[in-house]
Amino acid sequence: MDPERWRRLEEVFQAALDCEPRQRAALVDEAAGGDRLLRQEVLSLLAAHDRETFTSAPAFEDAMRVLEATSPSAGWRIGPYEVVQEIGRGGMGRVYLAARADETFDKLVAIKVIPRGLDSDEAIHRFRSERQILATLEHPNITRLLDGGTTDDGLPYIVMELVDGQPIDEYCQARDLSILERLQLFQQVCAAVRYAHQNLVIHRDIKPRNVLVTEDGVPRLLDFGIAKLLDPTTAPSPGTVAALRPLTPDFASPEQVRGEPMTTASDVYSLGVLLYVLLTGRRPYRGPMSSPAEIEQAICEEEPEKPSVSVPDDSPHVKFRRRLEGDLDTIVLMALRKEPQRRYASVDQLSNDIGRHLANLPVVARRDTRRYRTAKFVRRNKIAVAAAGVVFVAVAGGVAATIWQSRVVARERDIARLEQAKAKRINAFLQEMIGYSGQTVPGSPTRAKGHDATVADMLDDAAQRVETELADQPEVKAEMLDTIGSTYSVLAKYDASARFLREAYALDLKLYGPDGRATASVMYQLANLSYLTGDYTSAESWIRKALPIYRKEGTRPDFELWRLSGMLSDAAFIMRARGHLDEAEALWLESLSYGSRLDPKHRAVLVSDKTFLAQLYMDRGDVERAESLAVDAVQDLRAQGAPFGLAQALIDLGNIRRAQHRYAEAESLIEEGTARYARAQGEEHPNVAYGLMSLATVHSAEEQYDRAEREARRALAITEQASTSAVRQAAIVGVLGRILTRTGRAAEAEPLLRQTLATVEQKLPPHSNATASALGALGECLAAEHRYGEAEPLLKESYAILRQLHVPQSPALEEARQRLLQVSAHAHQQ
Amino acid sequence: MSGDGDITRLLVDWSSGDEAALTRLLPLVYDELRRLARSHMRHERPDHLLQTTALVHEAYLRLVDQKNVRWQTRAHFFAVAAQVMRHILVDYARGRGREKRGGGHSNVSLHDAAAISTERVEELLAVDAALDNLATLDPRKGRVFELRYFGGMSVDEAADVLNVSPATVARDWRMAKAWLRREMGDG
Repeated sequence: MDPERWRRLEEVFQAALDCEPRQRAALVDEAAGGDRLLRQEVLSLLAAHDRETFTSAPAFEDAMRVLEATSPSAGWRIGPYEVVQEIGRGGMGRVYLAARADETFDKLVAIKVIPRGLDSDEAIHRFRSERQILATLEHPNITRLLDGGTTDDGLPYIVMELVDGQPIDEYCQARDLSILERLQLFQQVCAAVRYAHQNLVIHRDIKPRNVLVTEDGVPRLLDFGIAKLLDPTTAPSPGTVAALRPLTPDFASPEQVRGEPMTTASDVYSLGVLLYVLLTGRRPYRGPMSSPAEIEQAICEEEPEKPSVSVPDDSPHVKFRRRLEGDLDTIVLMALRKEPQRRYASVDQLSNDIGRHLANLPVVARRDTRRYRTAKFVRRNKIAVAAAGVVFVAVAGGVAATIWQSRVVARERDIARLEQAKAKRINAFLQEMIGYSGQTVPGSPTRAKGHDATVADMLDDAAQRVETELADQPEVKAEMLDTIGSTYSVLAKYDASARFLREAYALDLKLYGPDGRATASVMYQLANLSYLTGDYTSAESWIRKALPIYRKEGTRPDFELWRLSGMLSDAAFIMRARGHLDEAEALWLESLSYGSRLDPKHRAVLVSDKTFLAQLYMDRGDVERAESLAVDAVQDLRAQGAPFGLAQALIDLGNIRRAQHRYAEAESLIEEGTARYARAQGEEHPNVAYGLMSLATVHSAEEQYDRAEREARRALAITEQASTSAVRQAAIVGVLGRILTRTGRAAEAEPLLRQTLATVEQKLPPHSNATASALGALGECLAAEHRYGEAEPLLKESYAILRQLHVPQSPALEEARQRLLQVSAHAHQQ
Repeated sequence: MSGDGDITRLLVDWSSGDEAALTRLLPLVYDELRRLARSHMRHERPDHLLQTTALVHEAYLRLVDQKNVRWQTRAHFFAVAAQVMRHILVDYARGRGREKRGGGHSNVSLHDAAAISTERVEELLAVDAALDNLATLDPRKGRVFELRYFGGMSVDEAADVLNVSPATVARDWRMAKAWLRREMGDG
């Protein structure tokens, strides 16, 4: 275009724009004269002007983003690494593809640089220690954190394994995986998350983009715990919480959206969203989510539709609809509950429930009841800490209970045995050796009370005569001293018992030496006595001396096998009380191993070993093993018609059912057990209190706190009146304290729980379940009062103890872990 | 920083009509903008986007000795920056055009790495080509468009740089936009 024509073109164009729009056409016609080309050109320019969309400086505003994206990449040195290119950016920083500069470029890594300097020594320290924790995560489904440090200009970075894969949702769609395949893939993801939780690491940002599935079908989780590493609230810079709102909110839990501390339950939730997406192809929420308020509204208030209902008609997932109805709907919605404490208590439970569904077993997940949907329980009980508690209360409360309960059972069994064996012998001795001609000695254990006076009188009398009348018959005197001492023990006259047993021991040592059978028998009696008086250390030392002798004697034909079996069982008891659970287990198994060789009368006694062993497995949180033994024990006892043992076994099995969340069964078993105790021993018997306490923990787990509180208080009243041991009372007080904490009366609970803790610390070895439970209860209580700094060390200790005692799959351990994580989060936020 | 004096003098020379000074200025400003952007990028939260204006202004403050220049010098600096930005954007757009989407690594929990959208990339390339044609037909209109579109300058600032009235800049701007839009064909 020549300059003159260009000038003309502009002249007409500008003039047209300057005049009224209505006159434009006329003006152009006139100005162009007959130049049709010019006219057309001006009109096309005017049209272009009208639809022109360049804003004042659009490209200029893009320039910054381009500068950012292109400037740093290639050649930038980050620590010992050299950046190849930027490969992405997210809410938490930028990611670069890089290689170690000092090596050939064949080993590539991903480096995440955090766009925020660490402004204090504390922040640097925290970053480093957190990084170290993450670096210890080694799991085939977790991307390794390889390295980390700070760049030259002081920015923290982390170096991660490079993963080539496809986001899990896209992977499932691309390969058109079946429901079964999806669930199995998901379970692998759960296993990785569970592993991390066991190492006290919460993912905090589970979403499809963080779960890549490799070519060979292995899911790999990325960015484990990175969110926390990058979370400004973990550094002392207050006021930045609002900035933390997740950039992709769909997978965030209600507590995360509200800026509350996150726990393992938050990961359970996010896994629930992930599962929802994998099964339905869509997110659980329908409401708009463009503003923070809308996000909070959707995630914290909106009830997600059932997955089976949610699948759209035109979606490829429509073929899953029928399969989703029922179990899978329930499982997904249970994981997605708004209140952390009402979700699955652990990732394991979620995964196991899927496993149960796949195995056609009934699932644990329960449909949300109308009451919860409307009552929004969490609002009433907003103490985040209480959240983790339900199952923990149940399990740990039960554990504390079994500690003292086992003593009750032991004593009853001792009475039974002694009545069978020793009392008769006493009678014989008294009659034959010293010509005692008093009343006959009791026969039936169930009528023990009525006979106590008789036996006691007889003993007092015999005790006086032994010295004078048997002075020249040391062997008989030794046996009499043993028998009298043991019998006093059965009558709970421990001082007298100790006096006679020690005398018998001294005499036996002289007569038979330290390895004598009679010596061993007295040592065994002394061990039991020490156990009954709560001196577990002495009990252990006596029983350790007696054990090898019994084992040796047990191989002789004249030694009654039931004695050995009974002794092993008692030894197991003592070891358990001392916290040597492995030894206790071995001893009980040894005792049970003689079962087939015992006559039916004595074999019946072995059922109590099953009960005890089941309790031991419960002490370790090994619910599965405990269950089979407890079911066995109940069957045996029902067949035997043994009232005491059955009552106890029923309650034990009930406690196991409670740990399995089978509350209805738990309730009916414990109610039957308690009723049996009440019928046999009266409503005011401590065993009834034990049953009530077990019921209270079931109802507490079911969040029926009014009922639970009534039961706990009634149990406490019984034990107070019966002046039962401090440890028993402490167990009940502990349960009551937890109920108070969980119903907003933490201040009332605190002194009770401190008293409980003091009692168990004084009476029981430091590494016991009861101690862990008491520490946990007090920690929970303090946390409910927002005294996180005080609560944290208690919960740490509680968790440490349980970690030593429990099997990895223990629900109590999982609960303690969750609680600790939650409180730690709070403590560090304060 | 070494070279401050150089940059200031080059800028003064260029604003007094020495076109050769511009060729020496461009790489200096280019380097500084990249350096600043990189440093900002690493220090700012990624969701907190730094404004380009602020960045250019910061570069100006760092590179130019304020005491020894007239106030119009800032506008000239922005004019240099406008050319730099054009280079940066067009280079990026060309790079993106060559790159096939979906290649590379699918790893590491990323949001889209693209700084600007594909449509934007296409527009930038089209504008760049059409702008070359416009500059041939009417150099001043080409400058006006470059200053406003790539340099983010206001009408008054552009008028200062080009030493013409704001009204002229405004008229050049609307003509340039309409012409470019028509040349680029779409709407």
